Amino acid sequence: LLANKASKLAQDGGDWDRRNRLKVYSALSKLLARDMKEAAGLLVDCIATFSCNELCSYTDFLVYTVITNILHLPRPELKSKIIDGPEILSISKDIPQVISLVNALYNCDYKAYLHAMVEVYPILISDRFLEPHSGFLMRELHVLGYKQFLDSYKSVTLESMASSFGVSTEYLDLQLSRFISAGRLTAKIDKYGGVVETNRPDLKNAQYRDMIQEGDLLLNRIQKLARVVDL
Amino acid sequence: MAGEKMDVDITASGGEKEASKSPGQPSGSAEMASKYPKMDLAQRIHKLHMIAGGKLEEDGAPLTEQVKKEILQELENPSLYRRVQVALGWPSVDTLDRLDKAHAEKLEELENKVEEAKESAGDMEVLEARVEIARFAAKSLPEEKAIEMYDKVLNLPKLSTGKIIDGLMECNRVASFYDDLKKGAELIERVSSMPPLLYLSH
Repeated sequence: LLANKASKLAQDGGDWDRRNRLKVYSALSKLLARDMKEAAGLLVDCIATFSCNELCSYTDFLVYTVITNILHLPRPELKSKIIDGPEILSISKDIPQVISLVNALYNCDYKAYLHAMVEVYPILISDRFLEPHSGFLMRELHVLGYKQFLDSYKSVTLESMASSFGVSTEYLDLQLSRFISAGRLTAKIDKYGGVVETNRPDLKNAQYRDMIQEGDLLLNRIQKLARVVDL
Repeated sequence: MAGEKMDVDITASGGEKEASKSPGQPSGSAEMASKYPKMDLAQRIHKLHMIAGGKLEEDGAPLTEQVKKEILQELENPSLYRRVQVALGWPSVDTLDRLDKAHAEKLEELENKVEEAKESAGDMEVLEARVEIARFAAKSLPEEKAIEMYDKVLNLPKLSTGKIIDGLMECNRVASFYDDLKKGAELIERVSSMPPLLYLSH
């Protein structure tokens, strides 16, 4: 029924031009409100249809798209929609720092990634939509890099990790301990051994545990109900 | 207003591809959008704030001169100048009071045009005159006045849905220019619930 209704409404005519523009307006509004996930989705949808030059330049729009989507798009989509996206490739010369950032993350070149983050920072600061979130974005980019690196290991020495990121072990230890204590990274630091041990939650085990708990609750309820019915 | 019967003004209905053949180029409705407020000017003012706050290491002098010139000569916006002046410690200039006076006269003249259109012409002429005031306010008057003028446009009877959407988006730009997040979000919410956009978004 709803599909028929939608089809009828679509036949009556749809204002796609204004809808596409509104999407960009909404995306920037979400960006300002730090709803990065929503903003990222809307921005990536508008890459091919952007026409809001009265709101921001196309280059700025693509910077917002790349920066927000790097945090939320899964790697295959990051490759197809951002890294290999023809629209983004066409202006990559205008935003080399942002392009280096996304390429370095995708290629697991963590030294270049941190270097690109330093270069991207002034871009965040000089933009009125990104500047209020510059601290947040830098923190999330750090977490993203560390998480992606640690995903490949069960345990890794602090020294090896620090060397991959091109930072000192003291700096890395400080950063990791902050993110681990905040629950952003599921790892442990063995300071004595100088090793970072990852502690990935096992999805199957978690599901099994949840099922047992929920099953227990259900049995309790049935028993209570049975007692009431007996009376 | 949303409950009133409206003539739906649809300029493009050929789908997303047709709406923008070349990304980055203005579409049909974007070309009709007001030039003011200039969002790139807002970016430059923001950059000056960052330079003044020591967050960006750049020589702000050439940019300051460019922005001052644009505010005073192109926009002729005394309220914007005063706003930036307070934040960035710019010197006061004599022209501000003269501009205030000139704008008050211009506003009166434009309001008279609306009255004339109401008496001797049709709804379209009234709309045009109202839009002219709103765009003048977006260019040269304070944020509150510009939003008030856009409200007057949006409250006109028999306004097509397309014109309402355009008005709301222009008004959103005014709010965004002045960093008025709450008003901006409110306007986006309002425009998103417009019937032709509501069903297209699902």
